[in-house]
Amino acid sequence: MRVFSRVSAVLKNIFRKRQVERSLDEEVRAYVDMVTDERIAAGTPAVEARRTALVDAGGFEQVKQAVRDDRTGTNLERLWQDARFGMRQLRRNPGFTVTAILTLALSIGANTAIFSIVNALLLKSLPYPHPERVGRFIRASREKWRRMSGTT
Amino acid sequence: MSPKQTNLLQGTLDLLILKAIGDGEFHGLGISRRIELITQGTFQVKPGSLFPALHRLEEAGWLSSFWGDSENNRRAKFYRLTKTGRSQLEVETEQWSTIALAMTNALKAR
Repeated sequence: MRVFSRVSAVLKNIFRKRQVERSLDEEVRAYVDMVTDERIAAGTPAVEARRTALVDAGGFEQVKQAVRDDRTGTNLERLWQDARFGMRQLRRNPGFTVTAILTLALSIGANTAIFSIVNALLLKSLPYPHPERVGRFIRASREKWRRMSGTT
Repeated sequence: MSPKQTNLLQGTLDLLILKAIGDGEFHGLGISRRIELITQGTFQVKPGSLFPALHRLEEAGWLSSFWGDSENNRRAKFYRLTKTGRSQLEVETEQWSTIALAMTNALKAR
C-alpha cells in the first residue's frame, strides 16, 4: 500500500508536473488569502494585511520551494537536471569534451588489452583436470642428464 | 496563545497533523489553527513546515485531499485521513505514549 502510494506519487510528480505545480500554487495562495481576509476583517488595511500575512507565512515562493524539496522523486529530478547541465557544459567546450573522451577511450582500451593478456596467461587455469600436475618432457643424453640433475 | 515557539521534535509534526485532522476535514490554515488549539498555543506551525508535511503525508498515503470551499468562500485544498492514516495515527500515538512515559520516568530518576 505504501509502496504503491509512493510510486504513484513519483509518477504524478514527474509526468503531471504542471498540474501538481498549479495545485500547489493555488493551495499556498489560498492560505495567504485566508490569513489576509482575517486581518482585513480585524481592521487592518488591505495592503498591510497582505504584506504581514506573506511575511508571517515566510514568503510565497519559499513555502512552495519547501514543499518541492520534500516531494518524492525530487532527488531523481535533481539527478536528471544535473545530467542535462553536464551535457550542456560538454557541448559548450568541445575541445575539453574530445580530450576527455579520447583519454577515457584510450585508457579503458589499454587496460582492457593488458588485462585480457594477463588473464589468459596468468590468471585462468588450464582447461583440463589437475592443471598443476602438467609437466614437461625433454630428451637428453646420459651426459647432459647427469650435468642437469647434479648427480654422478 | 503564548508567543513562545517550541522547536518541534522530529516526527512530532506528522503525529500532530494526523491528530489535529482526526475525523474531520480541514484546509492548511485550519490544521495549523487546530494544532495551536489542541497544544494550547505551544506549537505554532508555519506554512513552511506545514505544507511540506501535508504533501509528504499525502504521498505516504495517510492523507487524501480534495478541493472545496472554505468558511469564507475561498477555494481551498482540504485534507482528511485515509484508512491507513487512521491506523498510522493509532500506531504513532502508542509509540509516543511509550516514549513520553519512559522520558518522564528517566528524568525523575536519581
